[in-house]
Amino acid sequence: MRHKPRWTIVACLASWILMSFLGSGCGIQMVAGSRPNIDVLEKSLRMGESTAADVSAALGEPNGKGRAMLPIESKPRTMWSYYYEEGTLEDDRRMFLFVYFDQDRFDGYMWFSSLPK
Amino acid sequence: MASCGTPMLSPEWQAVSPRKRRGSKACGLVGLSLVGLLAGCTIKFGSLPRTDHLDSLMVGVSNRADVLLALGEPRGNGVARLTTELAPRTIWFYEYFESPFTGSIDLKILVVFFDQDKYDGHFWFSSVQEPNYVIR
Repeated sequence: MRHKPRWTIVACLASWILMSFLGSGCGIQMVAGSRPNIDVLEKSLRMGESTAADVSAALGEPNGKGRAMLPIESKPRTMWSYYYEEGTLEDDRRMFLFVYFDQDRFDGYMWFSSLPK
Repeated sequence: MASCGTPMLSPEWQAVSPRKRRGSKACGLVGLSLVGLLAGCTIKFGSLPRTDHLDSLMVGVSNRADVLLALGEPRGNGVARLTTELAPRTIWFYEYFESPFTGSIDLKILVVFFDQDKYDGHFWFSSVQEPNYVIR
């Protein structure tokens, strides 16, 4: 039985995989987090009334929690952050959502996104 | 054992026809070139937000057309209702993504606020190393 040197087999495999990978538009798909449903911010949640539990039920658990005191604020507020990203080697897009709380009450939000609607 | 320099061929490999050997070598070279090509590649999405043009915008005066002229087309949008007292603001979202295949990721994000049709402020942050990068 004939044996090719091992490096040629590895290199052939690598080139075949890479060529089919590049030729197919680089079929890698990357997703980070889960996309928050921003519609609930106006439809289900009420500023000054909804609680943190309501927000959690509507948007899911946040990726992060912190505190914010922006120049427009008179006191620090609790802030939850949501992040979602999806992409391939051809394009990559993301969404940020920040939700603010005054004590335990939903008190504002900010989202921005480059994802398709 | 083969050493660097003139490769020594095993008896099995010598039995392979020269044509097939050339084919395998070419295949290997293509593979190695592609690996090298990818290793030297950087993927980029979006275009660098033109934060140096922000000074030309005036809060409450500049409109969307002015922002478009100064900063270009946004890559996304958004909404901010920062407090119960403050009216909602619409957002234009600019982003630039850069990553070499070695693993690091750099982002530059610019968020522009509008009150109705008027420019109402912005914030930006970045980890992108730009030439002549000045933060004022």
